[in-house]
Amino acid sequence: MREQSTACHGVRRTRRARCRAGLPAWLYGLAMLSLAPAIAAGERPPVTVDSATSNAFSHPLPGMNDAQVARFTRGDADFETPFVSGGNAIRPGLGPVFNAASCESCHPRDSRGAPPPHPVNGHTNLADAESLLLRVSVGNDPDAGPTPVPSMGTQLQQQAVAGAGAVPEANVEVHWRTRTGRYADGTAYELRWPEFTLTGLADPAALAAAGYTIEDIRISPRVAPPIHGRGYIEAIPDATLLALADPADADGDGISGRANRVLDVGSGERVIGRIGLKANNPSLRQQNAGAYHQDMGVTNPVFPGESAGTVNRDAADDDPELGWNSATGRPDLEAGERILGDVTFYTQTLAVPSRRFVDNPEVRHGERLFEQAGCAACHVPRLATGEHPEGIALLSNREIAPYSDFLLHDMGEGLADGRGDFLASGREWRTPPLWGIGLNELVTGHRFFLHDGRARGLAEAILWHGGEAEPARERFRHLSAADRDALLLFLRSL
Amino acid sequence: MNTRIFRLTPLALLAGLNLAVPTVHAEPVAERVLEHTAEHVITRNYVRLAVAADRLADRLTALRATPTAEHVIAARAAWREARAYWETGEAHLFGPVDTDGHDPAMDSWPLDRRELAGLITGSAPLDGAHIARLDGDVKGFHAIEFLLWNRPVGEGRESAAQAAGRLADNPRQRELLAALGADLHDHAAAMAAAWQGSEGHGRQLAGAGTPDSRLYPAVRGAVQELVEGMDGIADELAAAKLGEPLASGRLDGVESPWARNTRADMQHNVEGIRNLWLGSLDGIDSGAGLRAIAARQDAEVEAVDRALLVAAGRLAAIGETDGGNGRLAFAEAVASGEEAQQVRIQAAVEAVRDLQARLEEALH
Ligand code: HEC
Ligand code: HEC
Repeated sequence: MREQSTACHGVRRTRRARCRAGLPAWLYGLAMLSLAPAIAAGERPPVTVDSATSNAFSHPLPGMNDAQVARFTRGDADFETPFVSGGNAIRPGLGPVFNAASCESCHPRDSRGAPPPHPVNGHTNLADAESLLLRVSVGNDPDAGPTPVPSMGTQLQQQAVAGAGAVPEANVEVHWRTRTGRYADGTAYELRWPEFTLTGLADPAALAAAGYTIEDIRISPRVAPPIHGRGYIEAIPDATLLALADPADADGDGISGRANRVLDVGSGERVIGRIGLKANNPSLRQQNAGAYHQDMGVTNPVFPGESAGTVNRDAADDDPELGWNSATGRPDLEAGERILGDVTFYTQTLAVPSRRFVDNPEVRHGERLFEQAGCAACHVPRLATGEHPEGIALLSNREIAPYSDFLLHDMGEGLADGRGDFLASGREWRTPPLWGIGLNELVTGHRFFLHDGRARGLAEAILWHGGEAEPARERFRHLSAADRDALLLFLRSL
Repeated sequence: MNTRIFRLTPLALLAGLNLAVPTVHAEPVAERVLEHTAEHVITRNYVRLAVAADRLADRLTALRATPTAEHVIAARAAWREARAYWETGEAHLFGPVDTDGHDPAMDSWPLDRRELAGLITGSAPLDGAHIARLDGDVKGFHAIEFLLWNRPVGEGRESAAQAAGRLADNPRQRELLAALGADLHDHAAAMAAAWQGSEGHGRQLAGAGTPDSRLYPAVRGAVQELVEGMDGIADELAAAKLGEPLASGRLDGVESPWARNTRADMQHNVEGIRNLWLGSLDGIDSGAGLRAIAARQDAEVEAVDRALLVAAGRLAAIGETDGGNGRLAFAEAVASGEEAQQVRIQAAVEAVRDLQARLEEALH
């Protein structure tokens, strides 16, 4: 049961959102029913759903009422529906520049995207991988966040609506590098990673005018992560996160852990970040509004202006008179409150699949090794939520098993992107929750992990750990083959 | 869950993951069903699709060389045949069809007609590499359909001779057709291959609950995958394919309009559900379909059998006219706005919803 690399060379992995209203209600029932024996009268519905199919990340929280299920279903449809360029009758507003046309195209079946294909030799172009995007900046202000690249902003859009006269912000070439290593028992492994090169900037003059060169652009590649269970993260009290944090490593275990502090666009306050790969967003609402705005070029209540830089703007993007709605006294938004609200509710209420084989002896052995190796110091098995900030009762005061502390950790030079994001340094990433990770391959058809999808399987993901996690990685590297398999089997039971 | 499957689960779980413990066949029904379904229903359906797509590609190549009415007729027939296997396969839209992007490449809808027109008038080489890189909404079944039949509902039908004439005048349309046929076949063949062999997806499903299966370490998950597959297409049928045009009166969601194949598509969807239910591609109960798992309660099983017949019958009746002379295509039935037609479509929606409910009762 050793991890093997998935052969996925050169396949275009665009997937189609099937036109269906999500999973039918009775399947939600089915998923819950098998847990039914455990629920006594008066007890709260379970925190997880018992589903181990390719739809495992797509179930709503057990126990929602009819109105909530209806809202979830609307949000599900919004999540799947592509936006199209202006002038079309249905869902106009894509672009002028964008990364992908729908949420679903980056998060297929509410799961993670894939990195660009790894060609046998040579390089690929980012256009082949729409679920990986590049955050960019020319600096970072810990208080104000990443400094935008002139005429490009803080995210690169490699797609543009040709009919609107827009052009991609740059061409992105992807080169894959490899290096080899060995486990302590002599077994060899290979690790690979992507490098990104920008060529053909749409607006080089703007960069030059501001005194920058192309080398000054810092690039943070990010593959769309799975999104189930994220509502619980919103409900973890600040105090819990701060108590887990140990910025100065006071306890001397080599693991610090810091909370990010980011801008809440609604209130203008700095608050604790918890969403995003560097905990760079305070809430799902802001994350999703940012996705509409940046990933899709769709204006919305949180970000009402177009994301496009100067070369891609036309008069309509800057003229408040155009597109002005005299009835509301505001410009018409491409995704209004109805859509943003429902899609946000949807992302708040996607359930977590239950663990499987919990009592299997090999799994239990793997679980002990996980703790002994020090993985659980960051991938914290259990947390309690407090009140959900928007009052979603099913998310409030629950015991959850995310296997994360949702804090930032220095992961070493190997994983560094070199791009600061508020308090997060260029070497720090938020510990990703591991719940559901064992179902990843079933749902997505691939085994690519880590922020840019470089790891081809769980073992490679662990072998990339450095910085604060280096001692844990070394303990893993020194395990016997049988113990490594047990640890991986434990991960697959999550 | 069905108590039978449920009872078996703890054993299957152990067998699936503890390599030291041999597989315990305490209750082999579900295992037998999975093994049989993976090989004789799903994989075989994909193989048939690949063979039919190969034939279609050949006939489109012949049409490129000699645009005659005979060649148009042969290509159109091959399209319908391949389409039938695709639509029955929509009852199991999981695995490589989804994760390797075959679905969008073969069956995107709606078509981007503007882009397609640009391809025809443009000068880009219509070679395999170029077609392979195109977005789904300018290729696949519906692009081929458009180029073979060409006339939308309401504008009369283009006869084979007329189509041959059009194609004779337009070498680039012919070239594109041949290239699209080859691309469709590439995808169908890749999908069939992905289900075959010891590393194939078929093994993952068939070996559920054993160390052979990384994806389905428990039998129950694999059975549920099949159930969700059937339910998924039934839901798409009731909500999107039938329900949406019925509610809106709009035709933009109606697939396969040029070939007037919409109703056949939907009938093949129901046939796909029946294939999984009976464990057979030929309408015979193999005794190793999901029906065998449900076979506890005779009444519930027979209710599914009946619901399948009713749904098939109601779909077939869409478009029948009271005079009995001729039948409207599905899009024509929608466009007619006639109450009698709406009643028929509504009846089909209800039959499909009933089928979902009966499946739930039998397999929950
Ligand atoms: C172009 C690809 C792309 C599109 C389109 C996209 N996402 Fe994402 N999504 C990502 C990436 C990459 C991240 C990680 C972002 C970060 O670190 O800030 C992410 C993160 C998220 C998260 C947070 C997950 C976490 O673990 O904190 C949620 C929720 C989410 N996306 C929802 C959506 C919704 C809703 C939409 C549609 C409105 C959407 N996404 C569209 C790529 C995409
Ligand atoms: C110092 C904190 C820390 C420790 C200790 C740690 N991890 Fe991680 N882990 C992280 C962070 C942060 C990431 C994300 C890194 C990235 O995406 O570049 C991560 C990523 C992962 C991933 C990939 C998750 C995904 O969704 O892509 C796996 C699997 C994982 N860790 C397992 C382990 C195991 C097993 C151990 C113990 C051997 C371990 N980790 C120890 C912080 C830690």
